[in-house]
Amino acid sequence: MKKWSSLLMAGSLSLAVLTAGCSGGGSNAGSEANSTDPDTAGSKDEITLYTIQSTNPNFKAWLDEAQEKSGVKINWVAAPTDSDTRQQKISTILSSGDSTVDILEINDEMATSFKNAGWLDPLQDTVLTEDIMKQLPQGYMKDMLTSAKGDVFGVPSYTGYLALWVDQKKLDAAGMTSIETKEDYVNFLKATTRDGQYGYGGSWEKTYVSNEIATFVNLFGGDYYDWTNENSREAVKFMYDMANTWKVTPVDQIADKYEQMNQKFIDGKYASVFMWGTGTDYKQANRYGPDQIHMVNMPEFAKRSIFTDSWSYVLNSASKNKEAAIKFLQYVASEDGELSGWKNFDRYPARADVSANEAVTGDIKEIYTLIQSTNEVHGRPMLPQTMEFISEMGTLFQNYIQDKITLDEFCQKAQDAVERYQ
Amino acid sequence: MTTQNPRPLPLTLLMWGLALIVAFLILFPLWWIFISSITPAGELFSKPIKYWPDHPTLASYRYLIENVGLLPKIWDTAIIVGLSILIGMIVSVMAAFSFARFRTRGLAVAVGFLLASMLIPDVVTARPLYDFLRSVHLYDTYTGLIILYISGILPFTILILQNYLNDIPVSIEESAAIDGCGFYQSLIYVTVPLLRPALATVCIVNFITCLNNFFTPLFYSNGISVLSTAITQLPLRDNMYAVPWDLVSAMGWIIIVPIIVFVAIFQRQIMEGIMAGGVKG
Repeated sequence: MKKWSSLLMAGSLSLAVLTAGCSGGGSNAGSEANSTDPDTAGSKDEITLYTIQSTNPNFKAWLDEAQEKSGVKINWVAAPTDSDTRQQKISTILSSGDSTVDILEINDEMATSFKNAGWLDPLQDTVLTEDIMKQLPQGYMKDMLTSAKGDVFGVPSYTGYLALWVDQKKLDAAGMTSIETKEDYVNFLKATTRDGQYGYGGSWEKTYVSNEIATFVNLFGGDYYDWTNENSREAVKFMYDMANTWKVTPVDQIADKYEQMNQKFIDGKYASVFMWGTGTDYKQANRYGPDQIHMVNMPEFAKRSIFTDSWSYVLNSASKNKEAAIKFLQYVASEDGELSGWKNFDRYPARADVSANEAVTGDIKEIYTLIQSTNEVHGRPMLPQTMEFISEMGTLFQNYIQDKITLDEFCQKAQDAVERYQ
Repeated sequence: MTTQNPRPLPLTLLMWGLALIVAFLILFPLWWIFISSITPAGELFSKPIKYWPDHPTLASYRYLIENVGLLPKIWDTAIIVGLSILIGMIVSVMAAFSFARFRTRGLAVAVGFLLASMLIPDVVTARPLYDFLRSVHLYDTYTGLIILYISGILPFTILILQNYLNDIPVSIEESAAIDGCGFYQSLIYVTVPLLRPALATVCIVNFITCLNNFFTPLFYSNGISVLSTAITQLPLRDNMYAVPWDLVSAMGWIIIVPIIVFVAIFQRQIMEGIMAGGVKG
């Protein structure tokens, strides 16, 4: 019996020792250095980056360059790219005071949730100095990355637009050369709607449609948070007319997300859409180009206005490696850092002076430059409980489009939602 | 001697028809995931729908291996799942034996606690457990994950083994004792061999449970990544809304295949073991 007892205990002990010796494997295991070896924490130019880019084929090249030029050793941890999962994980890390991660990449939804929570360090004195700040999109920085106290806490890593894309063949067929005004746009929509094809395609699924509602609200000079504003009402009425009065867009797209909308656009069902990014889907389908699908400037309704989005690098307040983290942030905010993002990840530089650099080339540069110089650039309207607010607004809009509620009821309920979530 | 009446033809046809419908409902999504995984991204949403791609490719699988670290994830999964099942089985056998063979108030309370723990959703204990693991330096370690995996499979395993043990007569162990067997000898040479069908069943069920476990590795690790959470780490394309469905499908297929193979091979043992251990006579 003693023999078996000893064997069992020895076996258990061996397994425990074996497993205790294990830790996070792979090249990204550096985070262990911060969490398990307090002697090294804060004593070296070494940080841990929580990144969504680790599965990009060019990540290693970007990392090598970042380490060389910032002088900081960068350990990395792969962040979930699935949005709900990522938000839960990052919320947990930040709210628990976890110091194993120094720098995190966050998107607009997370920026809205975190900017007043006190979990992130302000960067205006150390990284986002005046000369850099003036090169960044002012509306976006104010809407998304500035806290109620006026602290700026994120370095945007690129600029992306929710831009208007048109099918040039349909534009030609409509006998038009450009879309400059609201009247041009309505004429274009009507001229290209025939035989089951529509002038406008949207992704009006309830969690997606708020991007388009807010785009039209801005174009009409309204305010997404004020539904007593006549211009906001007019914008939503315009969308209703597109679907129900002029019938230049189908109501059944209330089930569509971007995947479905893009495929229909590629298949020629739509003449124009609002879409993020630089047209990868269209390129993959051989439908991209000046004579096919391409980005155009926003038409001028009451004004020209466009939304931008970004992923931003932020500094965890609990970090024990702040000096090194700031060196890294100074690098990503620098010309070298932004150009590296463009070169390796196709991320269009957020800084206007860097995007003007001759190293940034391609057809996207021309239209981006035009958009930057002629549009009001904003961050999307988001409230701390972002997804709940987005979802409720989407549901209200779908009810209005399907004639389940009137415009007055929509505006009243939308205002209630704003006040509830604000 | 009685002979069984043959089943009427319409009933047989109805049963076959139902079986085919159920099989289609289960197999078609699997087929769809597979062809999505070998379809180039640009063709994924083409119309009319294609049930076999024009240009089949293994590019998604290659991408997962080269850029998403598929092989290290398989290794991590194998270590965590393998050790969790092994250690979990040793602990479960000893616990089930104690619960089945000894009767004390304390043991009854322990069984009650163990079974009650099955009713607590993971998310309720997530945050305190997260803080605890960090404070004892077990966060994002194999050890920490294995402990959590084991704690997840113990209640079910003990329940099945205990019920199975209840049906094994104590007189067998008493006979072994009369023949000179010690306690551990009796347990290892007499009881455990009799438990073999139930052990096979819980091993298989636990393998599937561990492989499917999403919440634990997601919440309690960063650097260690297993197959079930790998699907959340696929790259975004072009913009934050562009889900790479080709890669998602390939990763989904990689996760599903071992489970399908396992169940196909061991389906009889799974059913027999559950029936034997889960139903009291």
